Amino acid sequence: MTMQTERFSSHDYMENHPQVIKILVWTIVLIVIAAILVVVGIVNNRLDLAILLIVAAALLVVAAIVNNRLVSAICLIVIGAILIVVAIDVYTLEGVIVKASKSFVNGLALSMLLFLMVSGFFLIFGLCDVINFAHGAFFMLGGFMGFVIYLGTEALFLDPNLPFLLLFGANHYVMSVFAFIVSALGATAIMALIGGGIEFFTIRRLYGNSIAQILLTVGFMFIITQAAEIIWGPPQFSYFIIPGSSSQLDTFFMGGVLVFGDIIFETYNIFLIFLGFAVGGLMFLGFRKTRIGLQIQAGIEDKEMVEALGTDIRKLFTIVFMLGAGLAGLSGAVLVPMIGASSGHGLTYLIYAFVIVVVGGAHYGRFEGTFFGALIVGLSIQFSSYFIPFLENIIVFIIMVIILIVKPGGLTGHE
Amino acid sequence: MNNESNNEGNLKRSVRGIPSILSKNRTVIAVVAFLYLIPLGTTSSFSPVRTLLFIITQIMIFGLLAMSFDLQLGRASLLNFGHVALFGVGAYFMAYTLDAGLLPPPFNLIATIPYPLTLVFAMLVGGGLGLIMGLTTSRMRGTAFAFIALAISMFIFNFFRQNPDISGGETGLQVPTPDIIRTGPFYLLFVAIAFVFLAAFFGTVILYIKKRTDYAGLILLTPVMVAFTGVLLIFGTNILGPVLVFIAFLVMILLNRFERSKSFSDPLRENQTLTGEVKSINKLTAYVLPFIIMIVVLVGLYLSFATNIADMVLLWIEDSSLYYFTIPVQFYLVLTCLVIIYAFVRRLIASPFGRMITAVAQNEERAEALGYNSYRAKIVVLVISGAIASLAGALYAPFIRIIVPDTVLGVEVTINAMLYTIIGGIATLLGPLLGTGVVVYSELNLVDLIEGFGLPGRLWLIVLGVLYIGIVLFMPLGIVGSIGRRVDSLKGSFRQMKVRQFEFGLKDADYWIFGLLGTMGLVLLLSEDPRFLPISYGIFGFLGALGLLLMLLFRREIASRIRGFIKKRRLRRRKIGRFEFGLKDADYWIFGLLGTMGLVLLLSEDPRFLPISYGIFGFLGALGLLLMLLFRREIASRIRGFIKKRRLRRRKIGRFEFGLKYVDDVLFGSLGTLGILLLLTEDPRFLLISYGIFGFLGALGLFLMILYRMEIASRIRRRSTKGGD
Repeated sequence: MTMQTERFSSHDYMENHPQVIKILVWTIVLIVIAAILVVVGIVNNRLDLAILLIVAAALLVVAAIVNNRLVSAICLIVIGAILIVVAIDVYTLEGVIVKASKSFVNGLALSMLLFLMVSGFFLIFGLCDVINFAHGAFFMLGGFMGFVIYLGTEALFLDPNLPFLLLFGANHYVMSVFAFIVSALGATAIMALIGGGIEFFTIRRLYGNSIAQILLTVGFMFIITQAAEIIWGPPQFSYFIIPGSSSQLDTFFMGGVLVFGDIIFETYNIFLIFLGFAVGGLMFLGFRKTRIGLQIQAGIEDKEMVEALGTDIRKLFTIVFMLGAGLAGLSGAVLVPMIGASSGHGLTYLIYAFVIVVVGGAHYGRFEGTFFGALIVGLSIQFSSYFIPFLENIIVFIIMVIILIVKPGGLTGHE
Repeated sequence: MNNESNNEGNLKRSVRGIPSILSKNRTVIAVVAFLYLIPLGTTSSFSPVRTLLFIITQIMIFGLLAMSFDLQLGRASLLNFGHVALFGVGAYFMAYTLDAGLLPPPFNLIATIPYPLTLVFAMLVGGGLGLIMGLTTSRMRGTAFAFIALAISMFIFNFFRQNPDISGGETGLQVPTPDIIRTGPFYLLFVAIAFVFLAAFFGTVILYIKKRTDYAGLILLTPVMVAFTGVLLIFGTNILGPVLVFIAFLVMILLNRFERSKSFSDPLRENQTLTGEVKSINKLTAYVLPFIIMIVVLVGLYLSFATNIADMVLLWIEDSSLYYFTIPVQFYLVLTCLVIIYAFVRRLIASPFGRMITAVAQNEERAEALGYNSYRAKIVVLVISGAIASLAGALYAPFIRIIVPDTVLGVEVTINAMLYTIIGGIATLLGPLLGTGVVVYSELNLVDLIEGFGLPGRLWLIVLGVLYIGIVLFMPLGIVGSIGRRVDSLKGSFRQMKVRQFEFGLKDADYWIFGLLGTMGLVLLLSEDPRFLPISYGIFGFLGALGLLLMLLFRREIASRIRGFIKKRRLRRRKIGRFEFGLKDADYWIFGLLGTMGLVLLLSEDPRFLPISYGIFGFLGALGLLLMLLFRREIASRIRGFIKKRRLRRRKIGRFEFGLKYVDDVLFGSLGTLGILLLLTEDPRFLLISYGIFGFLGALGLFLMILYRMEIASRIRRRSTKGGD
């Protein structure tokens, strides 16, 4: 017996000192990163930059291990400085400014778009505990709905037999504004109806059986995607609103670019940022001030209690499903002028939605988490596409892994 | 010393255990033996079997994938959305090991691993990735595991898609066929394995007969052997082999009768023999006879396929890089892997570890409270299923020859695996395989069908999606699960029957035989080989004729059955007595009209009408089969009554009746010999006649077997009790 107690057991030691495991894991990660960077540096003949990046990675590790906020903040600032230095060294200063400002604006626009979509996904997940795999498909279908409704509305406006032409005259700009509003609202309404219908007729039967719910939503994703591919063609085709070509109007109200010297912004992206903030703000207000919003928020925290307090939770589920699908439709519709509508968008954006929800805090997370997750994902995608193009599609997952290792529950969630 | 004797004992025990293993897995062995038999029909010349082989290989590969998916979803209730990563990693690993030029220098050393070993290495790689996925389960509990697995797979997918120099990019990566697949000895090895499985199959048949040592079993076997001989005739080019097989079974019937007549043992308890004399006879029948029969059968099989095998070997010597040389070898390879994995998974699920996984899946907290490490159990499941999925990928890459990130790493593959699993049935062993077969096969054919209607062929995918949703909502057990339940209840009701003889004679045999016949006909029909058509038509026609006959005989029972069914279904509409009236007259009216129509069309000998008449007879046959399976009990009692009536009239000629049995055999023997002789003449005019003779023999044998089942059983019992006295 004594032998056993005296014998050194690495397993027990690890159990008693979790810090050691953390340091070990991080050291391994660091060594791997360093090895990759050294190889890349040798290949590109820029070993100095590689060493700088290794220092940055080491600082990141320090920031992750140390529990001191001040040290972490200093480390992060130094990392940022190193990254900027490396970027300036690779691209010139002007290039960096152009790329950074462009990627910042585009990233913000993308973040807002993702936020609109993912907030719907998050609401459904948070309240109903349904991982809605069809959400990306809703989003994609919303895009097509927006596209179709826009074209249909403008055809109505331009129809000489209807009073709209008299109302607007030949003012195509106003027409396009109204057509856009109608398309966004129409897509929202249609997707809300579809989402509510799916919840009411199918998912309602399966509450409590999470795997069956997932299988079911995957089935809907499958059906919607296939139907869209049959109607609008494979993912290689994208549909844009092009004035004079696909659209009969000779102008799109938010088309064109803003020019500041070398830096060129697309007007629509800036519009999208404001739109995102506006809708996000409205939603925050709605959750704080309205009765249903408060009920939903309380339901995410504790369903049983809300039910016990006399709320019809089933009705609430349907409403949340409609709201989530409607938000997906809205974000899909406002996506069209930016990226176009394509049947391949469903899966791509569904995966972004996953990442954002995981980053923001999946279990019992808060709404703000989704917002910050969307910001992180959108900005990192755009920044990497301008600065490190080969990481464009991978960076999101790398960031997700890092955040999950540092904070297993995401930014705002519980573990 | 002790150890040695222990080993010997173990060996003896395992050898003695073979019969029980064989008789427990009768269906599986029959299916596997049939699958192993198919490629023997391929020759160097044009052979439509190859298309069939190609489809079956694809089904088996995706079946492996679905199986590994079901291991996670069905057994451990882990929904893995990154499952495709395991598959794709295996596929790419295999591609890199087959072509040294694909990877940059330090990494292309893996190309030096010899081929069959790379399968193991691919499994290791897949298991490693499964381990990584498993490690994340501690971070993400419950359904959120789906998120992170999907993220991992998307990471790998994006990595491969963004590096076209190692993944081939959009155009794809050309994967060479492994050298060893193009060698003759490798093929011969699989042929040897095929013969082992065939021997196992005949072993099960012999065991089955020994278990039910009455003539019913033997006569029952005759039509099977006729059908089997027909298959061999079509597959093989040598005529001697099938004849030998046929003779072997005739000999077996004779020898069994010989043994019966001398044996004192009770057929129901044959192991409990006391006297030495009886024992020696039993030794003869237990060891010598089966082996002789098996050897004869195998020699016959070998003879019938010898030319084909020789052709294949010659083909290897001439030009082994030919595409159609590799198809049967890959088929064999995949089939062998599938059999091994199937046995392994079956064993795993039955083991204590498998029970533990189920416990963890059902209630993780409770399992942990009972002292199981749920985290480790999940990781082990992920590693195993990752290895299997990776094996599927590794088999898929050289099979499909071009791999693109989208086809081996795209999320669609996961969704497909999920569809296969759900449609086939979660948490069943055969479900995923069956689901894969159904979906892949219907994918190949429904698209043409839908396009024939002038609709876009992809519409079938939507139909599939709707079907899938319907299954998730209303039939959560899938095909195998639901049917298995129904069969169980049917079996339960069957066992409760009071007529013991009936049970004795027909218990396993009926759906065994009819199912086998129907499957054979279906497979032959599906292979779309013009040579198989007559046989499949024959089988279906035979079933159809039998069905029609039975239907005419049992109209009243059928009507009452249907009435009862309808009553059960529509208890509310009980008052509609008119339906009864309508159905009563309708049955033979309609079926008779249909049959006559088909006959007239057939007799008109107009090639345009042929398919229609085939269709009518096929429909009648299918209906008849269904009805026969539904109304087994009525049929048996009817026939019993019929026989009684007949016998009452001929009561005095009891001798003749007894003698009829011998007359049968003589008749059959002479007919069979005639058929063989006609076959041997190789005259195309006589070929049809011999087909007819064999078909007639088959039909007659089956009919007699059904007709005289009771008789046979009672006679045997009488004789055995007499012997006991």
